[in-house]
Amino acid sequence: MKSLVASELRAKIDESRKPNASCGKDFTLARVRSFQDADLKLQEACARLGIDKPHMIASH
Amino acid sequence: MDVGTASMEDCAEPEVNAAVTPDRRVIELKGLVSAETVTPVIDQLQNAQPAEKLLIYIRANGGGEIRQLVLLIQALGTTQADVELAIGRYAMSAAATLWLWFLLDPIPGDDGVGRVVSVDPLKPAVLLFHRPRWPHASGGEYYCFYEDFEEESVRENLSKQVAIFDSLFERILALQGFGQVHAATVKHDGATYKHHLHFARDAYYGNNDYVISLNGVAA
Repeated sequence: MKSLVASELRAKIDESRKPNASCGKDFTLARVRSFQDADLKLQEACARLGIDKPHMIASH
Repeated sequence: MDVGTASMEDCAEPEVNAAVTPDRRVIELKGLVSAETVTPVIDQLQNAQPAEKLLIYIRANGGGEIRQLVLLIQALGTTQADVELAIGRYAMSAAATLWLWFLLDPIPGDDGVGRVVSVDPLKPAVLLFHRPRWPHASGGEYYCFYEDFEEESVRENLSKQVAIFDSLFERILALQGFGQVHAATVKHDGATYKHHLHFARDAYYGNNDYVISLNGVAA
C-alpha cells in the first residue's frame, strides 16, 4: 500500500480546481443541506411506514 | 473533551501530531463522534471570535454518528473562527471523513475569518474510510448498508445521503490517478495482478474498509 502525503494531495486539488468552482464554504453547506433534506424526507417516509428512522453510522 | 494549549516539546510522540502555533487553542475530538463529544465543539465554533485561532485535534477517534458529523461540518462551514483540523496517529470512519472533507474542500476564509483547513500530521497516520452503515437496533454486532433496506422510499433517501460519501471516496481515488490507470488487471507469469486503486474501489463498494496511510511531515 502506498503512503500518501497530504501536502501533495492538496497541491493536486489546487491544480484540478476549476476557476469558476464554488468555494469550499458554499460547497460544504450545499452538501450539508442535501444531507439534511434527505434526512427530513427519510423521517417522513419512515413515519408513513410506521418504522423507526434508521440511524446512520460510520464507526469501528 | 479536553481543551488546552498545545506545547511542542521535542519528544518521540508529539502531544499534538501537527505543527501548532502557540496562539492556537486546541480542542480535542477524542474517542467517538457523538452528541456528547461534538456538541461542545460546535458550541465553541459558534461562540468563537472572528479569526480566533482554533485547532480541532481528532485524537484516537473511531468515528460514530453521521448526523453528528454533519452538524459539526455545518458548524465549521459557518464559524467565524480560523480553524485547523489535525489527526493523531489514526482516525476512523466519521473521524477520517471529517479530516478528508476539509482536505478536499478547504475554506480559505477572509483574513482568517471563517478559514477551515485540514493540516498535515507530523508523524505518520492512518485513516480508515468506508461507506456509511446502519447497526441493528438491538446492538452493534449486526449492521447493514443502504441497499439492504427493503422499502424504496427509505432506500432512495439513504442513497442520496450515501452519495455524498461516495463522492469523497471517488475524489480521493482520482487524486491518486485512478483515471490514468490503463488496466484494472495485468497478467504476468501465470498470475493476474490487480491495480491497488482497483482493489481500493472494490473494497469500498463491497462495503469493506479502505485504509489510507499518510506520511508525516516531520523528519
